[in-house]
Amino acid sequence: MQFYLPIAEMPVNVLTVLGMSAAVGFVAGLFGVGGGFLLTPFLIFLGIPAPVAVATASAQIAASSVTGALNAWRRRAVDRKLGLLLISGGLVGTVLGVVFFNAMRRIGQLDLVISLSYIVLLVGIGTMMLVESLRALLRRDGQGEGPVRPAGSHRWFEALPLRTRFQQSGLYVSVLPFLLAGLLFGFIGAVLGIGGGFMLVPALIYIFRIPTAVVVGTSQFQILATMLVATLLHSATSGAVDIILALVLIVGGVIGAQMGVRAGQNIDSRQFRLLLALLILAVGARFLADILVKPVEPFSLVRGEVRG
Amino acid sequence: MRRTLFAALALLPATARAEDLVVLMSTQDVAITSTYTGARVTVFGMIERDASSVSRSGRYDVVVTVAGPGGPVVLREKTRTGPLWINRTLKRYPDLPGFYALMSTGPVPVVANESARERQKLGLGYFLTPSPAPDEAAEAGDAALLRLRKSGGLLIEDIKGVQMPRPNLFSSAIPLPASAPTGRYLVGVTVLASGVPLKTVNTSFVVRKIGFEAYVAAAARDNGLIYGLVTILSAIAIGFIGNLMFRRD
Repeated sequence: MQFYLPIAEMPVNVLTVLGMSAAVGFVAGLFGVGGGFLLTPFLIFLGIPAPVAVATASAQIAASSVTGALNAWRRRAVDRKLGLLLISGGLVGTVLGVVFFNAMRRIGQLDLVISLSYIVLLVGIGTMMLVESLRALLRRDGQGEGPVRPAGSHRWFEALPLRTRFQQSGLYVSVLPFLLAGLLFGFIGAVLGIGGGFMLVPALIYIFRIPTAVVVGTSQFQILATMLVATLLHSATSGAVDIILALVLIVGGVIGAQMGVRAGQNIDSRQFRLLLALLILAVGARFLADILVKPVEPFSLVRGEVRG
Repeated sequence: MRRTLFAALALLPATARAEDLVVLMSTQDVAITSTYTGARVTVFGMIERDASSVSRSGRYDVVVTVAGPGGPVVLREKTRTGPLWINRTLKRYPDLPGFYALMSTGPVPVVANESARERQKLGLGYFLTPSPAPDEAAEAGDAALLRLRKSGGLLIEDIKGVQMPRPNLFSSAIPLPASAPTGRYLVGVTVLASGVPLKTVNTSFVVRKIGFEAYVAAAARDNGLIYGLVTILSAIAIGFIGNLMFRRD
């Protein structure tokens, strides 16, 4: 069932896109992540122009985080002050990211920036997750997960100024690392079409030792806010958001995520984390192969870039 | 959905020449809708001969050219930089038709003599102007460009692309791939005999998005902010509905 995408200017098979977004949604629901780091690369592999893939995926990520954000709000698993700081930093980062995105697109290097960033990101995160999940699998005696840190060890961020109390998270620390984290992930998210939850969540858990439920709930709000703004800014500045593609992705993602959440309740999460790590590495390897392996067809044609 | 109405495009006034040429096209307006996967535009023609003119013994040949909207094109080549294969700009073509088809009743050098080819711009050489100072890289680039365009269906050279069911009737079906650009396509139809052009008719058709597709594309281009707002509101709405549908309480 072919459908012509008005912005990507190409026909796609709706069932392929629906199935792909449902599969990504399933993985996302299973692991409680947004899935943008898989969705955007898959769209690029399908032949969607990279700028359209990035801008459109942000709409899908926003939609899929609505559910998570609402559920977290109902369960009162949101640290409002932490969320506000992350979102403030995130909005600035998103604006900077969209500006950078358009500047790279103008000089014709956006595709290279996107694939290099994905290589660094996916190979890095994938390797870390692989090591961590292998360790967890070997440590099958059922001990608590997560790093065991000796009590009273020095934590660098405790020295920072502007300390404040985070009720829900049980913290009394500076606001600066959270503003900075929001900025960084907002920027990366706008350029690469990812929510950044799969980086933000572990960072908050491992570095600040905030309770997992609070981290997940709060980060959903950060992702929702930054991805909504990213979608809006991409639309307003480059017109690269394909609303038809976005709607198909959203529907597939919502359905897939629900199945993923259900499936996630009866499985050994450690084995599936290993699978996720391998999946991330595989996508990273695909990007890597593009620039490491001698291409079969070294030539490519692009429409003349807009200059000025 | 293509218009099936046949549109009479060019009925030419009688000239001093003995042959007259009537060209019809299956459509003047190729509409890109949500189910668009490319289209086929057929050119029909009839060669009419003046009753008073001397009868011609040889057969007619026909060449049909279709040139899509032009624009700048950049040819990139992946070259080895250390361990990496990185795209580099190899050549820029300031104005290249986004689509080009050359359909004929036989090999163009056979059916048209040199002056005819030059005057009517028949041949791939007129699609791609040769570099003023050709070097190896530029020639390799030109060859790659032709290969890429051909494999994408955007450059067609078919020496059996014009059929003649009767000595004075012909038709040519031009397949447009889905990636063919939107805009005006110029069609040139030339009738020849013994390599000499007898008559040329120029006409055109348009490929454009219509209906919903056109509306969406125009909104994204002209009202980006409102378009973005609609997108995020639908995203929130669907997310919210999904949440209600699958809520586990």
